[in-house]
Amino acid sequence: MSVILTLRTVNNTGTNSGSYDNFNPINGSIFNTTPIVNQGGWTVNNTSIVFPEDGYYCLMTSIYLTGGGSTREAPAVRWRFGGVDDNVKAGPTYIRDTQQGQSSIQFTTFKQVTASTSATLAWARWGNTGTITMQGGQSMISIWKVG
Amino acid sequence: MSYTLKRRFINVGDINNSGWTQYSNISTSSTDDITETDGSAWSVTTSQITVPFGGYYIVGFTAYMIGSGNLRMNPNADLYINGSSQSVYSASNYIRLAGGHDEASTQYSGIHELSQNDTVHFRWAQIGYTGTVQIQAGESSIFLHRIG
Repeated sequence: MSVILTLRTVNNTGTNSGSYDNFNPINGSIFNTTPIVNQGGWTVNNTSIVFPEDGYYCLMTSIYLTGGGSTREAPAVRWRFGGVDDNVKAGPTYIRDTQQGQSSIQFTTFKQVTASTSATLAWARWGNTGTITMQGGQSMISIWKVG
Repeated sequence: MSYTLKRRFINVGDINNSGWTQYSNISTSSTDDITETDGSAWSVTTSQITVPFGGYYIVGFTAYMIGSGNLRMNPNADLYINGSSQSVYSASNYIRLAGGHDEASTQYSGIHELSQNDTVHFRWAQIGYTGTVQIQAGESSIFLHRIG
């Protein structure tokens, strides 16, 4: 059986609340605990995902963001596995908040993990301060064991 | 062999319009693209792709676009399966149209469970300022790959 997880995030206003380029998990819930696809025995709570098996995984992350608190915000995100930041950062999320108040971030990466490793998303501020909200209803994360 | 399809987008003009709009912007030519099947055939029209076999698919696109005519354009994309929104917004394509910045791209990849004969396409809607944004033919594509 394929090992696949597809789930949404939840709304969270903390994506741009950190200090510049300092990645940390944000306060509050991140993940919707009712996956759309759960093949292979994944465990999900509102702040972490637990990998069910050893292996190589493809992680596809798509987060929709809305602004409104300031101008020229640009939060960035990366995966954190077992409490350690992954090397890949992603941040094409510039929000001008004048004539343009929404953006998104999509990135795909691969990671080798052991069973029971937990993962979460860590965020940092790359632009101006201001509130940027992760919109759970329009965001999606898919993870697939490739080998 | 596998169930894998890749097709380029074609330029059909402005995609930065209010309201979610389906465009006839999928190339039906397989030249330089990918058509792999384990049996049943893919069906591709300019407006949608019909899935040949049920299963879990990586579904995605990359769209490179050029803006003109106004400032701060930002068309949003969403995946539609059988005409229904999947609510997976892709909008990392802000175009300032000043200081030489008139190009951007956005993309999406996700795993979706599809049934045989499901139809797939992406729609676009304006979420930034007005202006003309055109997907560039040959430099953008849509893809599906069955993984299980």
